[in-house]
Amino acid sequence: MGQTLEVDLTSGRVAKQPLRKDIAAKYIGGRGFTSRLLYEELKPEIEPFSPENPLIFATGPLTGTIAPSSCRYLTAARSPLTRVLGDSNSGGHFGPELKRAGYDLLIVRGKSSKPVYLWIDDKDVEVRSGDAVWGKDVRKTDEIIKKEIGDPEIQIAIIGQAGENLVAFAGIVANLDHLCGRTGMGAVMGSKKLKAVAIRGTREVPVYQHQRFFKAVNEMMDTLKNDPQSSITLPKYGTTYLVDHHNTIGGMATRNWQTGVFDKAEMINGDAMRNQFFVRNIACWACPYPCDRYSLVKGGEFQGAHCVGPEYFTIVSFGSKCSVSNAASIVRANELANMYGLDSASTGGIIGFAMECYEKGIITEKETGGLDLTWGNYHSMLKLIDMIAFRKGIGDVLANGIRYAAEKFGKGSDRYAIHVKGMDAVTLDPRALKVYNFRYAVASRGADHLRISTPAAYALDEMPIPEAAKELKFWQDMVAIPDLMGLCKFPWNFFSSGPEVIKKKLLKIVPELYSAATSLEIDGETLLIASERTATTERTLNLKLGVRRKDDTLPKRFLEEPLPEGPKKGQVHDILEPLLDSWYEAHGWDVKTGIPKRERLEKLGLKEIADELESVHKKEVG
Amino acid sequence: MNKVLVTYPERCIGCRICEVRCAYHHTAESNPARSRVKVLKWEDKGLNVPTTCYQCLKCTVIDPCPVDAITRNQKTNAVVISKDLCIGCRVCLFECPFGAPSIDPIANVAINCDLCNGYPKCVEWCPSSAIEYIPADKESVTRKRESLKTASEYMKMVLGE
Repeated sequence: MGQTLEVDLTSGRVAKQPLRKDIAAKYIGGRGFTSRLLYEELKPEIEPFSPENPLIFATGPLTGTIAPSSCRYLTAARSPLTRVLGDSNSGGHFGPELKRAGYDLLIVRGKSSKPVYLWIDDKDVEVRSGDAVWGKDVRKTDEIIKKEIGDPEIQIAIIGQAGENLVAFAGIVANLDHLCGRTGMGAVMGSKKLKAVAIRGTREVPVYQHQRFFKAVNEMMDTLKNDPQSSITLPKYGTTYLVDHHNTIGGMATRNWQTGVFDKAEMINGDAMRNQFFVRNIACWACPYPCDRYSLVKGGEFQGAHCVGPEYFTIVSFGSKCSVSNAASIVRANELANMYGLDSASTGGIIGFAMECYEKGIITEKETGGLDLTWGNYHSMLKLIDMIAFRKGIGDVLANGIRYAAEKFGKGSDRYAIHVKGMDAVTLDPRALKVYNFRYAVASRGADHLRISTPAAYALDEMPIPEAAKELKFWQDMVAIPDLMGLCKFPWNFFSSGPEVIKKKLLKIVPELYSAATSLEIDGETLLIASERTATTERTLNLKLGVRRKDDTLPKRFLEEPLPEGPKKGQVHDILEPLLDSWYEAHGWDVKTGIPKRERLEKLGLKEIADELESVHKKEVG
Repeated sequence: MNKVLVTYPERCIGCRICEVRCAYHHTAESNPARSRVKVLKWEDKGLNVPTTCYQCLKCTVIDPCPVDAITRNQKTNAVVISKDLCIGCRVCLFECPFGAPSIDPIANVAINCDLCNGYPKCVEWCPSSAIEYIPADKESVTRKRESLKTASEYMKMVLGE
């Protein structure tokens, strides 16, 4: 078993501990670890930018092995965007390198007085001066640190200027284009004056039974190869195929969610992006069917703009949400976001929000500093990205996130701030697919599409609500499995032909890989319980930080304004309350308050959490 | 005709599966730091370049090795370093014009591609055919054809279609 590396930036103290066995057995790894550790450490009075807010880098037990797409790592802390649980997960090659240096977890505490970066060379850990890189963008920082260390093949996780400037949705970037984007982990890193974590790891990620492990790996390779979803769609389009898909069903977020149909979708869809900008596929660690596409703008105004991507959510955020159909400007926006270290989803989302406020006269050129924020003005959009990253003019307001900006603008602008718990929604309109996108209301990190995912989303709207809620819960527990293991959701979950293939991958192959790697025998059932344990722990953490049933809601627009056009014309989201009841029931949580009940907590082996919740129970549940 | 390893950077996706399979075959550890093949990256350009030993016909490291640890395998033509004889002096690293040998950080000896005795694992597992194991004369023909493609694009550019 690996180690936990703890670095206190206030004192400069570095400590190493063996991984805690109690947590490893119950929570598997990755998101399980971070959620549990945050539950133990966070208190309401620890602010997102307090030195006491720990920034955790976590890998999973399979990260860095030869298992396909075992590339993920996760960063977690109290989020400056949502003020509750923050975590964000990324691929690339950073996680495996951390693991190869011998660490399952890296916990950064405290706050440095001067800019620093961390250099982890296997067992040697050094806090180095960050003077040469503070203020630099991600690409430049990557170049300088590699030169300083003298090794161009090391792995580095970096914050850009957005993280330095504490933009509430700043991310952490590795391999130049791979972001832990959501929930503002880059800002937490910036608040600690930590510019980067650079790693060289030269050891093996140990596997207990090699032959057994390889057998399961080969089974997964065959499964991927024989499924056109993973072997053809994934490398050809990545997530960009969703543009046409969501637009066709009438749920593509357009003009800040005013409608679900974008009339210029064909200018920014998967084929448009591929035909104009595709250079080659780029793979994360050990991924045989890579979704990443290195894109280069070959001519015109944005000639030379390049990035890995853009992904669907980036296209929606800078594209349809802002009514922008200039595909090259979306590549450029993505490039800027990655260089400054901004979550492209939240950045595009908040610009869409600002554009609607401008349309409605809530903000004018006086507030925008002369910037014309008419729908589709991509020059203004690009300018705003700069202003947000550097907190200039109106960018200083937007940089604090959509909930804050709406409070600041006032004049009823909260109606146009499409967020849950402070995090903006990204992908598919809940009015178009009601049961499925109820997930935005209950996800532990705000309006989030990644905490629940099912290939059978359409059938849910036809089911009785209690059944649908149970089905949703099952897929919540399923989709957490890659998060716990350090695997990528794309080949292991999303890009699969139907639920049976996913069940085979997650409930048969994954347990086999885990058992062979760790010598701890596990089966699919036990894994699903570990997922539920993680979700419930996240729930209790958020309760501690103030979340109650009233916060599990959807933006008013989805509840009250009917979709104005398209195949789902006239629909509003009108089943929130009954779904919430059934959702809580499916989890064994108190229906009135959404607080987990002792009975279920004890069943999940979380007696200590039940004990801690006792006073809350007495006061609120009765 | 001897077979050679041919790499195609334009096809390489940078997943590093070749490194792990190589390392596992030689060391029973899936540690890429012990691999004979290495994918170099220029991330800003979206470029991955798989590198390995060219198995030069006039190898410059066999003679300088002070302990005669480096020999040529008669069957595969591979330049092979004996891990038992190698003293880890790194002379071969300096003498190779391409930097092909590297140091195994765990065993502390020099390592070099041995073509897996004729069945290279990197080729077997590469998901994008970025490494092939083909007869040396076929490689030459392949390259000639590919260069024609470049030439025709150049002609198009010059002549305007």
